[in-house]
Amino acid sequence: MVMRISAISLVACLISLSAHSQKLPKFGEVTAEELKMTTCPIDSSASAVILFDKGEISLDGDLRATFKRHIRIKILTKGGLDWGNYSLRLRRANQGISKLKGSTYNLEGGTVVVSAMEDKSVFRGKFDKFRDQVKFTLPNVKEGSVIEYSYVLNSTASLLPDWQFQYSIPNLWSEYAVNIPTMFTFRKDVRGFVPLTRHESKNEGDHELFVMTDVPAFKEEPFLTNPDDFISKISFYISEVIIPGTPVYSLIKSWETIVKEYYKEDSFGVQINGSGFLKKTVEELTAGMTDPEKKIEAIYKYVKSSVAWNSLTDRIPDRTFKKVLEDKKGSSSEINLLMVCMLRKAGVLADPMFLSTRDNGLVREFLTQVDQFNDVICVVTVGGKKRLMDATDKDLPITALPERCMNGKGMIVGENGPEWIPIISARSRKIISADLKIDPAGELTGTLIITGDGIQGGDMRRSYRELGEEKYMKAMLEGKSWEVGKSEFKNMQDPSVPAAENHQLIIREHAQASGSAIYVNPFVIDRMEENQFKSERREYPVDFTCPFEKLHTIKIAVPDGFITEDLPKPKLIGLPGGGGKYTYSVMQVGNTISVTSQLIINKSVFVPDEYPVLREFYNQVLAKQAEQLVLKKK
Amino acid sequence: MKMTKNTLLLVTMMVCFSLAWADSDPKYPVSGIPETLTKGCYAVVREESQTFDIYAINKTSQTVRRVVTILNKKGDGAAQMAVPYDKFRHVAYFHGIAYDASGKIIKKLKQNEILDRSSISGYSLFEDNRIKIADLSQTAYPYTVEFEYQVEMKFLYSIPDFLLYVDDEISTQRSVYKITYPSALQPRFKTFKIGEPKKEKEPDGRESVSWSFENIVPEKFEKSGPDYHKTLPHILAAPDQFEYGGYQGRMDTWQNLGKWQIQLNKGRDVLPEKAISTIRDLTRNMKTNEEKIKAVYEFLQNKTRYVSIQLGIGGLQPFEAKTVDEVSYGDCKALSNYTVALLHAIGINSYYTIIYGGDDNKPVIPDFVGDYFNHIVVAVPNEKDTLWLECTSQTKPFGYMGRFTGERKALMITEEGGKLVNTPSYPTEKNLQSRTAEVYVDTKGNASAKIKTTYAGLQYENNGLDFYVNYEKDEQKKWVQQNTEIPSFDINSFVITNKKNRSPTAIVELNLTLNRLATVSGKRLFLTGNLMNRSTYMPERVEKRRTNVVLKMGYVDLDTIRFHLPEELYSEFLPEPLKVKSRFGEYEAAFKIDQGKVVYVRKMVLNKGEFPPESYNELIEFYKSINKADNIKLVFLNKT
Repeated sequence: MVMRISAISLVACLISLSAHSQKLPKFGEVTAEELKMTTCPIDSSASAVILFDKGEISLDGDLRATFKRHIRIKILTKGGLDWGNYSLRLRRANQGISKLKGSTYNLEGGTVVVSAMEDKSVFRGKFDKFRDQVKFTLPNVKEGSVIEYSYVLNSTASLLPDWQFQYSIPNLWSEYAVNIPTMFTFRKDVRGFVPLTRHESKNEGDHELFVMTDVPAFKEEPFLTNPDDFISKISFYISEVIIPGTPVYSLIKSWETIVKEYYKEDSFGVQINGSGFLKKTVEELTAGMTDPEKKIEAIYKYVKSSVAWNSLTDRIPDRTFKKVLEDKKGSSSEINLLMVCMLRKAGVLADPMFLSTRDNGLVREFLTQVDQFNDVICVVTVGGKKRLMDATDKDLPITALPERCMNGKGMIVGENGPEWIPIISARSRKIISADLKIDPAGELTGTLIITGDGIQGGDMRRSYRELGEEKYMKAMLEGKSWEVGKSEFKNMQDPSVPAAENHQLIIREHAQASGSAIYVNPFVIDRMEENQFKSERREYPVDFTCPFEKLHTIKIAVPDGFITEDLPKPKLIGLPGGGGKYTYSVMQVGNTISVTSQLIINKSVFVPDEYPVLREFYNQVLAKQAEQLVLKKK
Repeated sequence: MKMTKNTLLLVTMMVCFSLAWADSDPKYPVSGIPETLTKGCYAVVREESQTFDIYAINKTSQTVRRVVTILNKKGDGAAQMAVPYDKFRHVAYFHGIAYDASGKIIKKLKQNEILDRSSISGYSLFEDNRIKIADLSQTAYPYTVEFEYQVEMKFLYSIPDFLLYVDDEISTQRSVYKITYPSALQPRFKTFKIGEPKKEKEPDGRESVSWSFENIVPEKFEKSGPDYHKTLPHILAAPDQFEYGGYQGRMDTWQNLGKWQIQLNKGRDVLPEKAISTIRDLTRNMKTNEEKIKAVYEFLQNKTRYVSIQLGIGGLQPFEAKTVDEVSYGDCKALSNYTVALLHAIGINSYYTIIYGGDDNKPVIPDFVGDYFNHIVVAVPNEKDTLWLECTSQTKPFGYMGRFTGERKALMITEEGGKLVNTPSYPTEKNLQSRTAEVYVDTKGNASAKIKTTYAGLQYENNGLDFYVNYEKDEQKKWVQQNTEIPSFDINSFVITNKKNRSPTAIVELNLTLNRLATVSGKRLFLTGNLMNRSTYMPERVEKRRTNVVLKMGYVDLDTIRFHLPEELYSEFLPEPLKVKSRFGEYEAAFKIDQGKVVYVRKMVLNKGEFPPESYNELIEFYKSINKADNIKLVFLNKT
C-alpha cells in the first residue's frame, strides 16, 4: 500500500529507520517503579502523568473499524484525581463499546491493592439525538494511585479516528498502530509542536506505528488563536481505494480539481457567472464609471446595504442570489459571492477566496480537504494588486476584514485555478488627540477626540450601537474622575470614514499638584498600564489578530505663572525585521507642550523566538508612557 | 333560526374555518406594545402564564405559556426555552412559534428541532436529569416567539418561585401566575412587593390562587445593592404535605422537613466492620474530640474524591456509606453521610446538614419553610461551638467554610428533625491581607523587591488562592503573574505556603526584579509609594440611588513598603499623611523618611454592612479619596 506522507511525517519516517519497537506491559502488569513514583520525570510540577497510552486501529474491507485502547496513568497529587473519571461519546447509529475494564492500584503497607471497576460504576446514557455517552469512574483513586483502563470501540462505515498525543498532563509514551487493508490508502496530518519520536511502516504502509515519547503537557497561553491548532495529534483522511482489476479510485483531489469542480456547481460557479438578472442592476450602479475603484465601491455598498448578514459562515450558498436579495439577508457565502458575481459583471477582476475562521483553526495547505474551509470572502485585482473584501460586517470599512477571518492563509478560487495568499486586513488604528489646559491645582480642561479605523472603528461602532450612547459613556467613564460636558459622535453608522467621538471634559485626580509644582502624565486615557506579557517564556506564537496602531497626540497648556521644568526625552524603538516600532516625542511652542506617542505593530503573529524581544519592547513602551511632565512655579 | 342538521354542519364548518384562519391571522404585532415598555429594553414579555396544578399528593403539573418580542440581538436569549425533566417528570408537550414584526408566522418549531440532552453533562458523572432545549432566535428584528409546554410530575415537593422580572431590560405586558389545588393540599405562599391573590373555585371543585400583572416596567438594578429577594417583586410557594419518590412528609416546619430527610437517609449509614475498626484504631490514642474529628476529616480527604452524582429522588438521597467505603468516591450527600457514619463509629455525634452552597449566598427565609438548598455539609457539635466539615474537598482546611458555605442559615438534621442553624461568620478584622516589602531602587529607577503577603480569613480565597495553594508550582506561578499588581515584573523566585487552620492563611513570598519601577524624567525620579495594592474601583455615578448600599464582605488590608534609595537621591515632594473615615471603613496612608529609607504604610478597612441609599454618594467620595491617595507619587531629585 502506498502512503502519501506529509513533510512532517517524512522526517519522522527517516528517524524511525533506526528505532525499534518496545513491548508495552499488559493490563494488570503494574510495576513497583510505577507505584513508587512520586514525581513525573519530565515535569516536576505535574499533578498526574500518562505512563503510556496505546491505541490500535484495524480496518476491514468494508471499512469496519476496531479501535483498541489501553491507557495507564499515575496520580501524583490530589489535583490529578479527576483523571479517574472518564467520558466518551459514541455515535449511536454505528459505534459500540465493548470489553471496558478499569483498575486502580495502590501500594498499601508494601503490598499492592488492586481495585477493579465494577459495572455499576459505568454509566451509559443518551447524550443527544445522535450520540450516546459512556461515563465511568475508577474506584479508590487517591494520591499515588496507578490507574488504567482499556476498551474496544467497534464502528461501521467509519473513518479512522484521530489520535491525540498531547494532553494537559505529560505523556511519557503514546503509540498508535494503524492496520489498513491494501485496498485503502490514507493520508495523514500530524499537527502540533512535538515531533514524532518514531514512525514505522511495514508492508507498504498496511501496518504503521506512530510513537511520541516524553510529550510535555499542553499549557494554554494568552493571545493564542485556537489551542486546537497547537495540540499534538494525528488525523487520517481516506485518499484511494484500490480494487484489483479496476482502476484506482482516488478520493483525494488536487486543489486544481476542487476549484474546477466548484466552478461547475450550480450554486457556486454557475451562479457566479450566470445570474443574468443582475446585469441590469450592475449597469445602473456603475453607469458612467470607468475607474474600477469606483465600480468596486458602488457594488460593495449596494451588496452591504441590500443584504444583512445572518451570522452564518459557509462556502456555498444555500439559496440563489435572487432569493438572497428578496430575503434581504444571507450567509457569508451568499453575500460575498453575490458581490463577486456583480463585480465580474462590471468587468472587475474578482474571485472568491476560501478561508477558515479563527474558531475553526488553521488551514493546512498540503491537506487537500476542502472542508477545512468554513468561510468565503472576495478578492479583487486592480492594477495587478490583490485586495481582500468582505461585505458581511456592517461596521467595517471596505479595507478591513472581520476579526474572524484573520487566520493565516486563504485560497483564491480562481477561474484559472487556486492561489494561496496571506489574509491581510487594513491596519486597525486608534487615534487619541487631546487639547487640554491645566490649572495650578492640576485640573485639566479641554477636548478629547478618539478616532477609530479598521477593526478598531468597527469595535467602536458595534459597542455604540449595542450599548446606546448613555451606556457607552458610562462604560467609558467607569473608574474615572471625569466630568464630561458635551459629547459628539461621528460616523457611527457610516463605516467608510473613521468613527469619531469628541468630548468636552474636565479631568480631575489625574495630575499631581503640590503648590509649587505640577507633575502630569500626558496620557490621560489609554496609557499602557501593565505589560500584558507576564510570563518570561513562551511556547506557542503570539497572535495579535491584525496589525494595529495606537497614536496619541496630546497638547497641554501650561498655566500662567508656571514654567516647564522637565520634559521627557524623545524615544524611538523598533522591533527586528520591521515587526513594529514605537516613537515618542515632545515639543513646546509658547506655553503649549505637545506629546506624540505612536505604537505600531506591523504583523499579527510573533513566533516564540521573537517573544523575549516583544516582551521587552512592551516593557520599554510601558516605562516611556509612565513619564511625567514637570511644571514649576516661577 | 331553526337548527337543522344542515345548519349545524354549516356552523361547525364555519367555526372550523375561522379557527383555521385564526392560526394565520397576525398575532402579537410589535405595534401592539406600548412605548413605555420598549424604552431601554431589548425584549418585552407580551403574554405569560405559569400555572402549577396540584391534583394529588403525587400528581402535579406545570403549564407555561410565554410570548416574548425580541427587539434586538441582545434579547436573543429570550428566544430560547429549556425544559428540564427526569424519571419523575414527563414533558407532556412543548410547542413553539416565531412571528415577524407584523405578527405573521415565520416558523413553527418541529419536534425534531428540539435538542434533547442530559442536563449537566461534563460536570456530573452519574445523573438522570435531562433537558429539552428549543431555540427560535431569528436574525431580523424585532420578532416574537411563543412557547408552550407542560410538565407532568409524579410528586409534590417544591413549587416554582415566581419572579415578576429577572432582568431589568425585559418588560412585561401581561403575566399571570396561578396555583390550583384540592383544599386538603392547600399550599403556603409568601409575596414580596406583590398584592393579595384572587381566590377562585376551579370547575372540578379544586381551589386556586392567582395573580395578574399588566404593563410592568422593571426598576433598574443597582450595583452593590441588596439581593433580588429584597428588591424584586416575587412569590414563594411551598406545600405543607408532600410526597417524593414514595416518601411522604410535611414541610410546615423546619423540624418536619428534617424528619423527611431522616426517612431518606435511614439505614444508609452502615459501615463495614473493617472501616469501623480502621477508624477506631486511627483515633484510639487521641485525647480531644477535636483531634479525633480532624483525623476523621483528613482520613476522608485522603481516601475519597468528589464525583457529582444526581440520581434518584431529585438528587436528595445519599447513596450508602458502605458503597463510599468500597469505591472511595461520592457526591456531597454520600460523602457527608459517610463522614457522619465514621464519626458515629468513634462515638462522636454529628449531623448531616442541608445548605445552599455558593458565593452568592442565596438567603433562606426562616419563616417560610421550603427547599432553598443545593448542597450538604456536616456539623459536629464540639464543647463550646460547632465544627463544620466540607466533605467534597480533598484539600479544604479542617473546619473552614469560607465564601461557599459560611455566614448563612443551614438545615441541620438532628435526631428530633430539622433545625435551622447559622454557619460560621468571618468578621472584618479576621479577613486580613497583610504585606511587608523591601524594595531596593537604583538611580535609573530599576529595583528589586522581596515581598511577603499573608492572606487570612476570607482573603485566603482571593482570586482562587485557596485552590492555587494546592496546585503545582507552574500553576501557582500563573496566580502570582495575574495577581501581582505591578506594571512590569520578572519573578526570580516565589514560595506559597498554605496554613490550614479553621481560619486558614496563605503566605506568598516573592522575589522580583522590577525594571523601571520608578520613572526617571531628567533629574527627577518618580515613585508610586503604593507598590501593589492600588484601589481602582469607582462606584458608577447615578442620578438618584434607590436601594440600600450593601457591602458583602468586610476586610482589612495592611501594606508596609520600605524603599531603600541610593544616597544621591533626596526628596522633592513627600505627600502629607492622609486619613479618611466613613461609615464604610477607614483608610490611612503615610510616608516616613527613616535613615535613607522611605517607608510607606497603608491601612484600609472596609466594613461589611447595609447602608441607606442616600449614603451612596459618600461611597463614591470614599473611593475617590482612596484612589487618588493610592496613586500619589513621591518625587526625588538627583544631587549629581
